[in-house]
Amino acid sequence: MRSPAALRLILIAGAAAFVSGLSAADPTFCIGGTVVNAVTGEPVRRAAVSTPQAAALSDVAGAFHFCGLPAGSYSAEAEKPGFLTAGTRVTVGPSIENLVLRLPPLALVKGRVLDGDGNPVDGAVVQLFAFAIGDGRRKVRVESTQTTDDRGEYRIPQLKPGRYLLRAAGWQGPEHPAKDADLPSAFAPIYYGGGAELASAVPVTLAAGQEFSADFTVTMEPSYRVRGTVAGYAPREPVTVALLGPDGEPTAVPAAFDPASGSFQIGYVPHGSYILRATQGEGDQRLRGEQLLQVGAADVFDVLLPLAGAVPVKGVVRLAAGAETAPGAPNCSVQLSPAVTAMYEEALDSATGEDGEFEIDGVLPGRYRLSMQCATGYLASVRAGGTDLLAHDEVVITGTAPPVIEAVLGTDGADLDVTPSAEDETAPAWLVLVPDSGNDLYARFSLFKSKLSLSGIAPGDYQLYAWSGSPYAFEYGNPAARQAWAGRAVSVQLAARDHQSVTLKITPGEPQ
Amino acid sequence: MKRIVLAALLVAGAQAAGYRIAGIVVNASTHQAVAGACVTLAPLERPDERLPFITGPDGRFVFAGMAAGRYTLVAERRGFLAGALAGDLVTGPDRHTESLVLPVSPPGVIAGKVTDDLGDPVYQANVQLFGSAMHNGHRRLTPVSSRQTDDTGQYRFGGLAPGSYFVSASGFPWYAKFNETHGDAPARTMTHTGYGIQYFRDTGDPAAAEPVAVEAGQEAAADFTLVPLPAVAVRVHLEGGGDSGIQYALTAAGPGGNPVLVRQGNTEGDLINLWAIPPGHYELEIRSNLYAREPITIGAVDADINVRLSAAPSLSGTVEVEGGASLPAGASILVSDENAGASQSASIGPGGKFVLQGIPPERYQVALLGAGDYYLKQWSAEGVTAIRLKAIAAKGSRIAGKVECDDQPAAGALVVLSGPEESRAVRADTAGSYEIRGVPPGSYSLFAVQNGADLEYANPAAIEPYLAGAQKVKLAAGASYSRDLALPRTTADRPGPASPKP
Repeated sequence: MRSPAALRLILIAGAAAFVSGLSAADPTFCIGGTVVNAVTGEPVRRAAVSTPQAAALSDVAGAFHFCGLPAGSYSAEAEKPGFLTAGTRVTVGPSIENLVLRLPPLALVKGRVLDGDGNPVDGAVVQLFAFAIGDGRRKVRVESTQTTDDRGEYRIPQLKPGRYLLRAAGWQGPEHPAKDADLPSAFAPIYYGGGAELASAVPVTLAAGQEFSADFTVTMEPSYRVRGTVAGYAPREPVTVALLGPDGEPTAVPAAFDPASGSFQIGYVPHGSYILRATQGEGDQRLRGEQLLQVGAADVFDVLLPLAGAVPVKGVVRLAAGAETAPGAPNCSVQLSPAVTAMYEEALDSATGEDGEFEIDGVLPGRYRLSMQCATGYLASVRAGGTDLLAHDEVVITGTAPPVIEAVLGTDGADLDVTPSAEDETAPAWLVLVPDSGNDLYARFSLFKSKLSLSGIAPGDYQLYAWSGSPYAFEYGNPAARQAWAGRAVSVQLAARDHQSVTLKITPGEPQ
Repeated sequence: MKRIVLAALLVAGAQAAGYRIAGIVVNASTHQAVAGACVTLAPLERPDERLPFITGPDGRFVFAGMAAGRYTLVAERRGFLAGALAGDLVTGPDRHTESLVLPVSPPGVIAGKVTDDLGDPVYQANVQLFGSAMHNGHRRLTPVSSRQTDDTGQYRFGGLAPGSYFVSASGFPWYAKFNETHGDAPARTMTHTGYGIQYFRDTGDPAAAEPVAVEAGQEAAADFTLVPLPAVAVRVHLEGGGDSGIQYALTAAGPGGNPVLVRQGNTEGDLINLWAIPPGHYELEIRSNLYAREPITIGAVDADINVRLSAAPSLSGTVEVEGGASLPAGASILVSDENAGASQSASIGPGGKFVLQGIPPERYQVALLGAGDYYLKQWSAEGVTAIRLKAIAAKGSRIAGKVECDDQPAAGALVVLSGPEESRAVRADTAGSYEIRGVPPGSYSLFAVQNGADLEYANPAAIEPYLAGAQKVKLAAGASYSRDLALPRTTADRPGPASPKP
């Protein structure tokens, strides 16, 4: 039996609007059933069950019922805070009275932040990152940011099942930081699992409805102020000044900007390496300034951070002198992706034309990693001005047009045939060829089945890895991850014009 | 921490002939010594020149070799509310500044749970906290903080000073989102319900709200039940310039007339859709580059209302000084909202000019800040959107003296100068000295109270018990007066010195 309170709330209005176009003779039907917790099977009350034409709340027993639907097929969805929305396709005519909609409960992460003496840290910022592997490295997106209360406790509810990283990111101190840097008023960011770096963070895997406890013990230490001036900004438009960690992750340290003077101040900064970034505007009008910042045991004042707009990055790809003529143009794809890898950010793409030239538009100031894949050869040399990008694959954009990137293709590369061992032949697998030099420009990443032929590989020493399952299972850009997979690697030494064949055992790769 | 101790020692070595400022930081509740507190000493006139000292296990602090002068002394420690001397600290010959006691209070907490009529938690309900604060001698209830409930319906206000607070809870049923409208599209109506504002304890009437008492280090509970009520949708049509980045807030009058948030958001264009709003009286405030604040009465049916946006007035003008003198550098003009108590100030520049932009239409009080011996003698204003204010400042009186109790300086005593038009109050410093400047000429009553933090000195009823023993003084413009005060022995509010335990 429904309670009076529940009955009062079960009102169906949308259905009346829908049936207004029908003749009185058209038959209508009902949908009824129950909403239950997909994990516990318990009824879910006050869940909203809806079709595009009608909606109703479930009662205290999880039961719902609404009518007025003409014969047809409908998408019926149930939703309630704390659960993932779930639905199904139903056909009425006749009515359905026993539809069961199962709502998967969302997960929760909670915990405490304590100092070295076991005292609660009030105002600590705890971030939850969703993460994936891209270009062999972890890339994260801030999913939620919470601040601890006076008990040092935080709570991050309403999480979809999945893998996350957790980080106690810093202290959200008062708006106007204290002058004295001697106070133990901040702590260095720390990931769940105890590591200070993104690559060493221990992922947390949440199942539906799971409550996960994650406590942090942090070491309070003196903090310092960073002060400076942003130059080149447009007056009366907001400027965002942010202090990022060395991996580009947000520090949660508050930054104040005064648009009248262009000055900024950031308080509660513990010693360490940072990236200071200021941005203004949107789209084509976007301005950005970025620089590395080292904070020692003192305040850092008089930082000048100029903003600049996007510039084009130009380049050209040629064949090596004396190289055998390759058919057609160099046929290279070129990509600039942020060298600061932690946060999801769009990579900028281009491709060489008939003349081997390429241009990437809209490159904002910052540090970028260059990647080039050419169908007609390997990169024998890549230079920009006086910088050898094969030895140092970062391109630094400062707001003025950078030197032209000049790449030379070698056409005497090696060929490598990869075949899975007999028992693995039918399974598609991921393969990555990683140079021992660690240079991303020579890494190859492929999906293959039965056999894969790689051609035009730069001469050198490589490690070959293959796995089935998720493409994100292996952070091949992370030396620690490569070390962990050392036993699965096959070493390959390739000389110019070599042609080698390798048989690989494919093993499952568990998501990291 | 080493650097701090070293700095203090260096100061001691360099100014061996100076004075010592020393004492102990104690827990105001237990009187136990507080270790690891940061005690900060700063010259009154140069607050940036702060010296820190971290207390050891005995809670003691010492600043040696300090120059004679006036200082502020503050103690801070995580887990405690900051503590400071009630008045300025004065050191010099015959000033005893080596046995100071700085109490720091463990903060109080108000926590609770917001549930609906079925007992289910209300997620993201808005909980607001109001506390009383002294404003120009009147005790006034003002907003302190706000929280959103978590997924269990719980909220928590930590770091509260002991006192009485009022708490409200508001929000809307999550399923009321089916009533949300977008642009001119009709609502996907399912349930026309909303939550009325609830005040502790179990009332929808702010006048019947019950205060929540918070004691040092204690946690008080305040739970709420939000009951679904019939509600309507309201479409607000903006006239006079729809824009991007429009912020709106729908509020209702809460405790002490303070606004309680019912709905807020951002929108673009010239239409604001409000839904799940129970009938009642509200105020809608809209801010973009334009401004509007209008009372709205919402009835029992869906409604369309029009709101005209206009530029928020600016206030500019000049402050002239009688006799052609100049105001001290740093003087500013202060305008205070008579109702909400919110205030804005602007520096008075060369020629006595000042400008305040974007002042919401409201009734304001005008005063001078940091004007030393000068007071605002008269002012007039004209204009609607660009208000011109012409003010005249004049040199006022100065009255100073000492406050003693049992022949000892009454450090921290509140000295009140009460007149028919204006009342002033200052704290006596650690030497028992006080000074009040820039007082308009007239007849006043002068008295001192040992513990005057809670005295509404501008409220005639509150000071009535003190007037019989007050000195009557008649102040002439520009004149200086010396009046010593003795704390009345009938004042029972003078506690004994704190006795710290080791």
